[in-house]
Amino acid sequence: MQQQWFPPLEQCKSRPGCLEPYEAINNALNDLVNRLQDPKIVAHDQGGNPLTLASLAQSGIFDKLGTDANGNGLTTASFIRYLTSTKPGFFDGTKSTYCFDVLLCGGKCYENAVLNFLLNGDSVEKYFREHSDTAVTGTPSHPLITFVRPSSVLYNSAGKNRGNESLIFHEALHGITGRYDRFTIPVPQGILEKLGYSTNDPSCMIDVAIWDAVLSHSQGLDATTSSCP
Amino acid sequence: MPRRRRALNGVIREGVKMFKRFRVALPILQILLALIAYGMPKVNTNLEFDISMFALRDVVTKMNFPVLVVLSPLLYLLDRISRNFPPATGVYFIVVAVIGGVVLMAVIGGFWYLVILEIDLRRHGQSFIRFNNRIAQIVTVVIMLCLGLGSIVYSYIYLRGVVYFRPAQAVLGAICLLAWGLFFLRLSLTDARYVFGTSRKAAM
Repeated sequence: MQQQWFPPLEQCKSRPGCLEPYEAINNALNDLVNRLQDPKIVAHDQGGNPLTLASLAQSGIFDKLGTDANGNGLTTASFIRYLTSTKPGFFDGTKSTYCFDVLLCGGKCYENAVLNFLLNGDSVEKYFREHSDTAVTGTPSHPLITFVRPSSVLYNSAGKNRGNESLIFHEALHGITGRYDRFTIPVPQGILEKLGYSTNDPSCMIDVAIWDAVLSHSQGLDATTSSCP
Repeated sequence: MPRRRRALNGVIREGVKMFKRFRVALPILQILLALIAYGMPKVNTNLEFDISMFALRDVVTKMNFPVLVVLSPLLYLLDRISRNFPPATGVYFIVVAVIGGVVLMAVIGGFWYLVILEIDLRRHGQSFIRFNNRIAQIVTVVIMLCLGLGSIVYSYIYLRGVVYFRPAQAVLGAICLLAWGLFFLRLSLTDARYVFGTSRKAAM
């Protein structure tokens, strides 16, 4: 049973260069990190000072969120370290029997069916069956642990596109800050509120904010993405 | 009936009268809280509601920290052992889950009943966890000292771990753990004095 807690995303094995969700997401991750590390000037502020993608991410996203889950100031450098120091885990959420409550709130995930029923909530797989979310992330999680809906992975430009990179950026924000999308009693300010959106706005507005503030300034990034109402 | 035992029975009876409402109300409240915290996430599927209920469950767990200490090894063993057997399904699953749920709630209720009883007894200079056997008493004192120090250390670790991203949950949980720590420390120190006092008298 435990083997199904973290089922891997489908991986390409048939021929070199083929693309399945595993390759698409990992290509997107590498491309996102490369773009954030790129020292190339992508814009200028009102005073004419040059801005890199990292500085845009700092002012547009990280300064607004403030601190990570340990209370340390959130920076583009710490975000890149978070994504590179230990390889993030991307798993198939539609197949995982891992405890959804443990993923979001910590604790122990019991394998025994009765103990699991009495002391844990639903499984990640059941959550994906009953909700339309594209991904769910350990909040917080070190390293990043994200369960993805494979059908939401986009294949344009070998996975290196706006949709996938916004998704990774968005989920990594949960992992590094411990903040949920929106208001909850234990965490009164979610990412949406911190970024200036309303509690009632859809979660995909976080992806929109990431695109508007950061990724849209990065040259050559495939703009393919899923629709956001 | 020995005088000491008669006196103890009298104190228990008196304490039971005085704490009758509290003795019943607090275990019931704890059982209700546990039912809400553990049961509601199975009913409501709204994510934000779920997360808030999970937080309540965490606080309820910290509130019942001594029960957790006692049950954790048992639950861990059950979980490990059950890997070797096929998972419970159908009617068998329902029966085992109902029994497990009843036992869990009974343990929580019984634990709080005993806590109130012990507090009441101590108000009258008595206790049901004091023994005439010196070794048993020392063991009890050591266990309570460990529980007390463990709870305080755990409250610090817990608070430090989640205070930045779940401040409300962290503060409530840490207060519960700290309260248990102080409670057990006080019990252990009081009983340690009792043990030393007895031994000095015996020596004299």
